[in-house]
Amino acid sequence: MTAIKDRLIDNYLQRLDRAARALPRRDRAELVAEIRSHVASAATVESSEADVRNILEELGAPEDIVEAARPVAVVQRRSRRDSVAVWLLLLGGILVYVGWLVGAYLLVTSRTWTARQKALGILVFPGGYMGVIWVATRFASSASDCHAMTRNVNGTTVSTMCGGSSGYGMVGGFAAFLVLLAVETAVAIYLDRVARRPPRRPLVAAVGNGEDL
Amino acid sequence: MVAGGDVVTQLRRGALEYCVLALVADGERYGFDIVRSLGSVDGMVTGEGTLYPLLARLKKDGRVSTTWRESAEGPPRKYYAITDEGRRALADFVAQWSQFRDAVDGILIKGAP
Repeated sequence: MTAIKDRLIDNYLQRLDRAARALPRRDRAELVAEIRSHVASAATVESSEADVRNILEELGAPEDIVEAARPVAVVQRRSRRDSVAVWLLLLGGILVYVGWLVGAYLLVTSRTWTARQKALGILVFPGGYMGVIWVATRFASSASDCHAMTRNVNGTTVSTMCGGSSGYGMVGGFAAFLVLLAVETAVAIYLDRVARRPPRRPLVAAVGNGEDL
Repeated sequence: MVAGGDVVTQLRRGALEYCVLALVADGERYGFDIVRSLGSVDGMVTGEGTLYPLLARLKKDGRVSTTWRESAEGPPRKYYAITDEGRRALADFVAQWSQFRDAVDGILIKGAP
C-alpha cells in the first residue's frame, strides 16, 4: 500500500523534473522542491492511495506546471503573422518576387517592430536572399559580361572596368555574396528575436483608471 | 461563450498574484497553505501546481521574500512574506481594481449610464 503511494509520488516528481529541464537549473530545483514539499504537506501517513491520486490530480499535469513557469513570451504564442513576415522577407524573393513584397507588407503593418526596425528589414535587402543573389551575380559577371554590354550600348563609347582579371571579379563577387548573405541573415535573426521578446503590457495597465469607462 | 471564457481566464491570471499578496499581507505563510486557500475558492485556480511558478515570479519581482523552515511533519517548507514593494503593488491594485469593478458593474448591471 505504502509502496504504491510512494511510487505514485516518485513517478510524479520524476515527470516534473524531466519536464522542468526547459527551465534554468535553479528554477528547476526550486520548483521540484516546492512540489515535493506540497505533496508531503498534503499527504499524511493515513492517506489512502486514492487520496494521493487526488492530491496529484489537483496539482495538475507536471507539464502544465512547467509551462506556467516559463517566461510569458513562450506561453503567449508569438503571432504566426510575424514569423511569416520574417520568412517571406528572407525567402519570398526566391519563390516568386511577390513573396518578398508580401513579407514587406506584413512587416510594415505589424505592431511588433519599431519604425527603425521595419526600415532595416526593408532596406537590408530588398528581395531578401534573391536580392543578394542578384547583386552578387551582377558583381561577378560584370567582368565577363562586358563584351555583351558594350555591344548592347551600340555606338556610344562606354568605358568598362573589365578585361583585367576576371578571376579577381569572381572572387570579389563571391566574397560580396557571402558578406551580403551574412548581413541579410543577421537582420532576419534580429527581427525574429525582437518578435520573440515578451510584450511589456501588464494586464493592470490595460485596466486603466476606470474614468474612461 | 469561448471568448467570454478567455476574458475571464485573462482576468483571473492578472488578479491571481494580487490575491496571493493579499493572503500573505497579514503574515507569512508557506506554499501549501497559500495554494490550498486559493484552491478552496471556486473558479480561482485550475491546477494547484501552476501557483508555484507564480510564487516564484513574485519572489523574482521582489514582491515577496522567502525562507525555508524545517517542519515537524516532513520536509522543509518555504514561507512567503510580503515585502514593502509587494505592499505598494497590492494597494495600487486594490484601488484600481475596485474602480474598474464598479465601472463594469455599473454598466453591466444597471445598464448604460
